[in-house]
Amino acid sequence: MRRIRKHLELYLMIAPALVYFALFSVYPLIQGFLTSFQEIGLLGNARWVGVENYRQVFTDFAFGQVVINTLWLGFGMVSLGVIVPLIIAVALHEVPFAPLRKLTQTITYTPHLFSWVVVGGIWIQLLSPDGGLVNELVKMAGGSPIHFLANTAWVRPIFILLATWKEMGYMAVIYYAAISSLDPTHFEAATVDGAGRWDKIRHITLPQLVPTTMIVLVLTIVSTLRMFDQVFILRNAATTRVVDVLMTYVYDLGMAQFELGQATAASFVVVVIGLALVTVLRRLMRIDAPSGA
Amino acid sequence: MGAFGVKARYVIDEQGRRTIPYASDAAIPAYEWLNRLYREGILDPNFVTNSTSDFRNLFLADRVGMVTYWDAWVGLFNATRLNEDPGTEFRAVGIPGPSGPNGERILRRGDPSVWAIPANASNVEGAKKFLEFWHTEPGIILGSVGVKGHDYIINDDGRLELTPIGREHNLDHGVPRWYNTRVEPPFGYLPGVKEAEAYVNLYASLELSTADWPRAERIVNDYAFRAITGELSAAEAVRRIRDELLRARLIDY
Repeated sequence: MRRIRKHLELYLMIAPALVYFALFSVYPLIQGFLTSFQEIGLLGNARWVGVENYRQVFTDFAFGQVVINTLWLGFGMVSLGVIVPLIIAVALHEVPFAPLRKLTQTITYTPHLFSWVVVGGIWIQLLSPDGGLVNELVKMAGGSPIHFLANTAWVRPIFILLATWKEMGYMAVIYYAAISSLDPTHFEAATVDGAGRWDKIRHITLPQLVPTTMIVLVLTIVSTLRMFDQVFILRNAATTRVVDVLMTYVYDLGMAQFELGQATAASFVVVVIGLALVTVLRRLMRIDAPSGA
Repeated sequence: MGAFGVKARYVIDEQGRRTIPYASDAAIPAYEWLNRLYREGILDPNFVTNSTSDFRNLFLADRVGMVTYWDAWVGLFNATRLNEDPGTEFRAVGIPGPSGPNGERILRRGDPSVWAIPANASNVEGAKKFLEFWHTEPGIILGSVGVKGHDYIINDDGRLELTPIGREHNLDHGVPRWYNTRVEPPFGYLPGVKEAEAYVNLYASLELSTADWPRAERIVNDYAFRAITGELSAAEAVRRIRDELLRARLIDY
């Protein structure tokens, strides 16, 4: 209490934010947690069912499949989502002509600004087997059209590539900011010692980007758990089985089948997975450790 | 599917056992036929990714010659094109579908409308009053023709006249089908609707959905689409649908 009184004005300043989080994050979380132990439909009163909703989720074959899909897509998106922006940022840093660098940054960043409704619609047209640009190029090369978004062998790699394409500019900005803040004297010293461009990248730039890479990694992993828009827009009956993820599973249970109790139980499973993942990642990457530890 | 005598969704026999005809051997030739249409380019290659607005636009633009949709949309298609170009030769008509092996025709009736008032609703009487209003003449005029002064006006002789906005809305404000048999539609029926409705009344029957249908539907659609696109053979697709539905206890045979 003494500490609170001592810093009362600071606590008062953060009070609105705390109230906001309490009302719009904590309260719904608690309410959702309680709902996950009830049987609630569109109509009628709720009924307490204990852990039955969780049991149904864990014994649902579809839940197991969406976990596999989330891992599959997540692994691909995290891998490419960390490496590709890094390559772009490092390459951009090497471009001496500033207008070209800025233009490239703008072009790579722009897809991040659009919603998946727009991006999905564009790529559905581009990947169409009937007149889509990609398949026209395939035909020009002597191949047969491929329905990328309806073929279970292609759809996952396509999802991963599209997600990477959409977000690489945004993540590249984070990397580029980190690269720009590196001490230039290291590079100058390396130049004096006769290091080439690739040597500087390998021995100076990349090692010093490790903390930023960790942050990008955590952000990307958390965003794959919350993946919804892309899958919802681009999935169809032919590919639902291999691309449905945890959040679309929750949506289908809650919004399409009105199994609200089961849906909130599934969403809490996602929350627990996310918490566990972030905790493990923080420990492994020692994000909270002091620098040099 | 009707041409092969295969009904949509669930069928429950006299012993109460459930089956899904789309998962039976009778559906194999239907998937093979659809696959052939797909391979020969007669079935739109984009059918998997097309939304309902996509195929409506394709039909209105004469890019496709046939779509499977509600009977009410026969009138809406015609009205849309006539509004754009009164001299157009475009005509949408409903067709009864091919006969099945026993000479019967199977059309889908669609889900029936069910109005439900929760027992714990805060204003049950108000909800009942709304439902009663909705099935009166002013109610169906609101749902179909639209809002007075905005979609239509009433002339001095008491007859309704559509405004330009009302004509654009095609008598569809949530109620494209004039379901009230005691009130005559003030503007008649949109072109082609009565004939299409007659086929539905003659040949359509309700499909049976159980609480399990959403889960079963995903399994059926998954393999059915892959059979149509040729990713799986029709026989293999049906086998997998049936096996998975049985394993999940969504059908009994």
